[in-house]
Amino acid sequence: MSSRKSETEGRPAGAALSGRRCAIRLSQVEVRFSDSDPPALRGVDFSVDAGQFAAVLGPSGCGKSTLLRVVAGLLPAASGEVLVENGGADQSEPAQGGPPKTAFVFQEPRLLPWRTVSDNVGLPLELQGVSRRDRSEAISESLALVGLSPNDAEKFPRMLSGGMKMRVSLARAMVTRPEVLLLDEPFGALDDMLRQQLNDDLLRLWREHRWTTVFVTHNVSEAVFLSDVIYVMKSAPGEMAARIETPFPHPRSPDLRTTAEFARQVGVVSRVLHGGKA
Amino acid sequence: MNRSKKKGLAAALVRIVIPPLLLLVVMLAVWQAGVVLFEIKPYLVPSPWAVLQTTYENAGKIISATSLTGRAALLGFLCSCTAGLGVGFLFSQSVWIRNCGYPYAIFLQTVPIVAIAPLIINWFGPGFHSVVIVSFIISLFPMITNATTGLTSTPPQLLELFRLQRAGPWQTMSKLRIPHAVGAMVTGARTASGLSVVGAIVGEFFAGYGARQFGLGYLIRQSAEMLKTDLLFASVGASAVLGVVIFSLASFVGYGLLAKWSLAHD
Repeated sequence: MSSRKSETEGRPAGAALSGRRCAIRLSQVEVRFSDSDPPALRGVDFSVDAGQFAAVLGPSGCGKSTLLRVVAGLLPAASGEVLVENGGADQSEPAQGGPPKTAFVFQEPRLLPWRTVSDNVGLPLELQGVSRRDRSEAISESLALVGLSPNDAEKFPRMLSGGMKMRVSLARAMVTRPEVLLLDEPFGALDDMLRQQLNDDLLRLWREHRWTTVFVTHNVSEAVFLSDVIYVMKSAPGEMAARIETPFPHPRSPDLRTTAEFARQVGVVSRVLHGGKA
Repeated sequence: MNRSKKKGLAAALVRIVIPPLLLLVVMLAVWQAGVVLFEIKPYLVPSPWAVLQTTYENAGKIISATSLTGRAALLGFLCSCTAGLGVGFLFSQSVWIRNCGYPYAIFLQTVPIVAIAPLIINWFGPGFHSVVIVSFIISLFPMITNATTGLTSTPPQLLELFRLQRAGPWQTMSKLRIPHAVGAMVTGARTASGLSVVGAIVGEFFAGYGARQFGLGYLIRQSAEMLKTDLLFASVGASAVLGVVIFSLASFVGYGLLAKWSLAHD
């Protein structure tokens, strides 16, 4: 039996920008693309607490992106339970209706080439029927969050570098003030320096807003640096291999990457990724 | 407009206009020399000079015929744009609708227009409206195929983005599928514009309005029958000019529409 539920009981204090905080719980989830193919996900248990940053790590084709699409509601689970629920502790806040606001950042920026940066960023609000006047403030705020200048707002995507396009994609995800942020290898196509810079920015934004975040990557160092908890997946047929908690407190400085403890932790996760034990 | 933009426009004009004009001058010179050197009979191939003279003498007749054919072609073209976009929109709604209707769209393309033009004249009678119908039929197919292809070839990644935002079918159509299809639609319109002139002339072959009011098709047929080859050449030249004018008009409007798109596409 498969179900996808959304519970909206209240809002935790201090979550003004992000609205509610939602926890993600997947239990024994199986996903099949067709009856004849082996399952893309098999008996997956996956849990992210409200406001937590989780990374999903695994080799290519192991089902990381499938898992993310199941959480986003883009793919139905053949069996098991998918729950994106209010995870806040403060019950004094009034209940809010509607499903959790989920934002997705894809591996490619997926910008509409005929729209300017600001029109791309404002697209989710436009689709929700928000008026142009009300959108403009949220767009400016979102562009500022990801470090884009107002001058960039009227540019077309083809005028931007790869890193800037990714920032626009991030800004588009943030413009709706999401409760759950899902990122599918967003910086995979960028060079190392830009990737680290964007990782630092993402972590800063997460610290400010505390979205419940799932970050899919195949880069161990990136997963260790960003996340509170790492889920390591086996290669086909898409089973979860391990759940590893990272021991580094927030806020994390970029210098963390140069410490011996960080290198040791990367080694631990790498061993699990390659079939060893933590 | 600033100076650099003016310079750019002038340079583009020189690049686009001068080379074909040069080629035209060379071809006319070769043609004139060939007619004089080989003493070719004027009813077989008149000299360009003779054609120019005939054009000048019959300017009123040719302009009036071109104007009538142009109006029929333009109307046929506009009808094919409207109907083609409508049918393309319908075809993009479901595979089932597409499978039902597509064979008939192909029928429009494959059946020789000269075979059905007499039928149209029979049904609707000779005159302007029948010419418009023939022009419409002949230019409809590229609009249908291009609009359908454009509307159904939206990248799945972008569709997924819209699905994630819980966009409704009309939002996905108006904010994603249609903008994405504009390029293909413009290409279809440009092809259809040229065909609409062919359709109007073919229509006039069958639905010639008569001696008092006639289009280029009638003029071509009449001058061929009377062996007035110089007038025939002048009429063919006018047809070509009309084709270029309508094609340029469609391209100009299309480029206007596409300015943002073509700039924006990588």
